[in-house]
Amino acid sequence: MMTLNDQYQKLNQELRRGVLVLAVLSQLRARKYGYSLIEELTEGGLEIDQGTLYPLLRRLEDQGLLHSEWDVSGSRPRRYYELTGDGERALEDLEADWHALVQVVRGLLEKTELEE
Amino acid sequence: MELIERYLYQVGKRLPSKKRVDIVLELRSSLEDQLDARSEGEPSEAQAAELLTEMGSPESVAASYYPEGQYLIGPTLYPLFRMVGGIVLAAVIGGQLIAVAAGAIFSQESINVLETLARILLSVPTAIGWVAIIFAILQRAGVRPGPEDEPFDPRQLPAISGEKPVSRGEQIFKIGLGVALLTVLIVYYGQGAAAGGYISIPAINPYLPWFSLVLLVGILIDIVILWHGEWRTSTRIAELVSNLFGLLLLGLMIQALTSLLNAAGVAGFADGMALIQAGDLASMQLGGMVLLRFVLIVAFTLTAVDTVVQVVRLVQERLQNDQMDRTSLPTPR
Repeated sequence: MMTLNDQYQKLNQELRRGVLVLAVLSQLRARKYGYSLIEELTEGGLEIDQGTLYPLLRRLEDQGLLHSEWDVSGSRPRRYYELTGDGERALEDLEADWHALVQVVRGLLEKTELEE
Repeated sequence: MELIERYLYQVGKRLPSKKRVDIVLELRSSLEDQLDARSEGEPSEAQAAELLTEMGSPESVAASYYPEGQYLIGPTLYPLFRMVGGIVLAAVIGGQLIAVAAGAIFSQESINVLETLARILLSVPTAIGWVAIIFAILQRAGVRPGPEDEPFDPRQLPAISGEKPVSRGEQIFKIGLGVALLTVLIVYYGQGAAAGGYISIPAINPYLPWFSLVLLVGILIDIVILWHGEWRTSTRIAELVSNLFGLLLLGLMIQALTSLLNAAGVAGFADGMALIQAGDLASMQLGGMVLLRFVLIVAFTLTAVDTVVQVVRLVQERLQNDQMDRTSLPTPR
């Protein structure tokens, strides 16, 4: 039996899932490795755990939106990710979609608040 | 840090071999980065344990690299697997039944019913197994059925048959009953044939393999109906054919018993019941035959009723379908 809190967690997770892709892509215009990306997102206020981020990076790479390479020049080897040409175009489109969506949903939420 | 190595080994074991080294390397580098960030100088084991606890079990970390889950046969292939499995199963069982029937008609040797049934039953897991193996290979190779070639047109959806779905419990009960009856028959036939024993009635023995076959076909039809969840024209026709064949066999057996009993001077059911109570073996055998004839007559009647019901339903369905075809949905004005 799912408690109300579990239900909420699930809804929240679903809501975040799509946003995470946009957030990750937005930070990869310049190349970054996984941990630095986590730090950057956390600094920006978006918590993401490694168990979510690394598989997501792999998936985006498989889809051709990201490109990755090992850099062994530092203190320890790190895998750096960066947007590909396709990734940049996808980010632009998603960004426009995001702004449109936020406006629409805000309109809807405000409308119902007024009715109440 | 040894704890991290142990952890990564467990994660790596569960990863796809192609990406294992790469993913483990990345995870190690990331875990070490985090440990460094949390500790001044050399990180302690307690700090590593805390970090790994936050990270989650190796199973869950490895599983997150399989976004679609891990399957022997995945959800996109499964409908195709079920269809192919059904066809193969029908072909394997049907083919063997036809071979047995042909053998019985064209050769003089009698059929070993038990052996034949066992062979057919044993072929089922083999057939399903092969289909599953082939589909598992397709799944691993990444073969997926392509998108439908034709665009979906709601108007092409088939008409609702108007059939009530069959009750699963009832259907399972029927299958169980059929299997039980078949088992009794096989045991009886096996014993009678082996010992020529006192329960063997030579007059009806020739019909028993055929009767077992009818029962088996009946069970298979019930299984198909259970699978479909409803009666369909195909299952109705199959049931009709099987019923007619069953009626023929029951009729022949009743006739054989009747002429046997007439020759022995046993007239009716009451006579038979008296004979059973008489006590000596010969009378009890005759009484048993009277009882058996009664059971067969009941079975004959029930099958006949079922056959009539099936014919009526079949005709009704045909008429309904015709009507549905003619009166297409009214067009809004």
